[in-house]
Amino acid sequence: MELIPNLPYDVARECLLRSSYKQFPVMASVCRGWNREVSVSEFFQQRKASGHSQELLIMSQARVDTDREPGSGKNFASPEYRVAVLESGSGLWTELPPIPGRLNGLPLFCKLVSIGSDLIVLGGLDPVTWQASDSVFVFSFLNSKWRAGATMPGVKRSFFGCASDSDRTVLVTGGHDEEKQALTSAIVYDLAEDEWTFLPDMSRERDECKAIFHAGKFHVIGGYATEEQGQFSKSAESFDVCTWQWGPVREEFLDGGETVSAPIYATTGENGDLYACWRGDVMVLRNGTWQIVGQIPADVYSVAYAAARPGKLTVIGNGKALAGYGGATVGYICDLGSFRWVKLETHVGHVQAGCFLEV
Amino acid sequence: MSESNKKISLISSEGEAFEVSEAVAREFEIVAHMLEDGCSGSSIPITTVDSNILGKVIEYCTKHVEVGNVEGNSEKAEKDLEEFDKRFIAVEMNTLFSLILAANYLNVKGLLNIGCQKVADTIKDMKPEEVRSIFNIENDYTPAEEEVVRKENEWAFQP
Repeated sequence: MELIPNLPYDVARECLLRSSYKQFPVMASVCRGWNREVSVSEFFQQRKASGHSQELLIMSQARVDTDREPGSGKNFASPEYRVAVLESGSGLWTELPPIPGRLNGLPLFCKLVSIGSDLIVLGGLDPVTWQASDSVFVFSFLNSKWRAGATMPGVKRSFFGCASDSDRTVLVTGGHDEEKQALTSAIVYDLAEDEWTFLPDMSRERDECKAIFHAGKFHVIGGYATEEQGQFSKSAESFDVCTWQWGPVREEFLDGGETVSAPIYATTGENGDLYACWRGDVMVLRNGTWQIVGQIPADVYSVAYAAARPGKLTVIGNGKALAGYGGATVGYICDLGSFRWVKLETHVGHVQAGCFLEV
Repeated sequence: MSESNKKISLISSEGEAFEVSEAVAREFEIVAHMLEDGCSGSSIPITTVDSNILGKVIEYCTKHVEVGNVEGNSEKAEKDLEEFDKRFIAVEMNTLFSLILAANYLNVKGLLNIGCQKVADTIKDMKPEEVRSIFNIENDYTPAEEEVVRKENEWAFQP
């Protein structure tokens, strides 16, 4: 089979492997052969194996309406969030097409996780009614399309912790229900089966908790009980998917200091280092203790998302709000060897959450 | 030292001889293998590559051998080499294909890599019909199928 006339199949394939992910939809439209080539998962595995895949930072970011006058009453309207994509290599920002039928943008405070070449958008608040949403949307970078996933079962929860094992499972845990009661319940989503399963409850109520997958387990950190509004706990507990059990609570998983803000966690890989961005510091977990290894540049007022890759840490944050949600977005990439920070070009617009995807 | 000063003649499909140092000839993996297999002759026929393309491949390999020989390779040297590659591969499509085919046959990995990358970069902002036209690819979709595929893939990423 000939993909490009006058080029051997293997060589033509080498050319296709080097194309930008943004061209996949166009490539699929060229002819049947190209469509077959780019719509199988081997294509993506080979891109990764041969070092031609692209690292993408995917974020929910407010669209800034440039017509909106600062200080006008309209600033109180909730902004429209869309999926922004930052190409790690080139530094280019793009935007994914909107979710079909969602005219007011992404649910507010929705969570983003990735599995393989799929982006998964979970929950959040309806941008118009502010009702908690149980929706799940999946964007496939393979065929560049949105699809709806099975909705989250159980109580309508918001501000939950969420993490993926990058293989097939997504954990949704804690948060609060529609009566603002903090939750102990947890559910997992199997992307391949498009199916939700209930987990045993956590030991603690954990509203606004953080979750991350690291060293074979889902770790759920912090959050607060109904009576402790906004006083984040320093404890953590971990769920092992293999034994289907929660481990014991570690009371002082985080140590010292105030507890009115929660760290943003990032890991360089399943068995890599675990980083936390907290109160202006970058910390790394070594032998069960957090060590401060660097300072986040001062113009990052609050960290919205951090992505760790071997040797580097990217931090996306919001600067001091200038006007409404149009506040500056700041991003830095840090060399974890020298701890030197390099500022990134950023698009303006408040960032709420993010995830990392390699395609 | 005498080893690296040895000259080898590469003979193009037209029979033209290109005299190069052994180090440059070894950049052609196919030639390196011949030399290792004890092929002692000092002239090697490259029957599938014409003089124009062979000259260019030699130019590419010579530059890369020169830069590779500089001790303590600096960042600047790497930058220069990148610039050289960029200029070198900025050729029209026929020449690009000939260079890729030659690099593939002679097994010059670096050149094959930048050639394939150039093809990928060429289609970066193209529409399907432009891709077909530049590569001479036959559209084997029926109009109905094409409509479906086009609908499925109609959005583009927005800048």
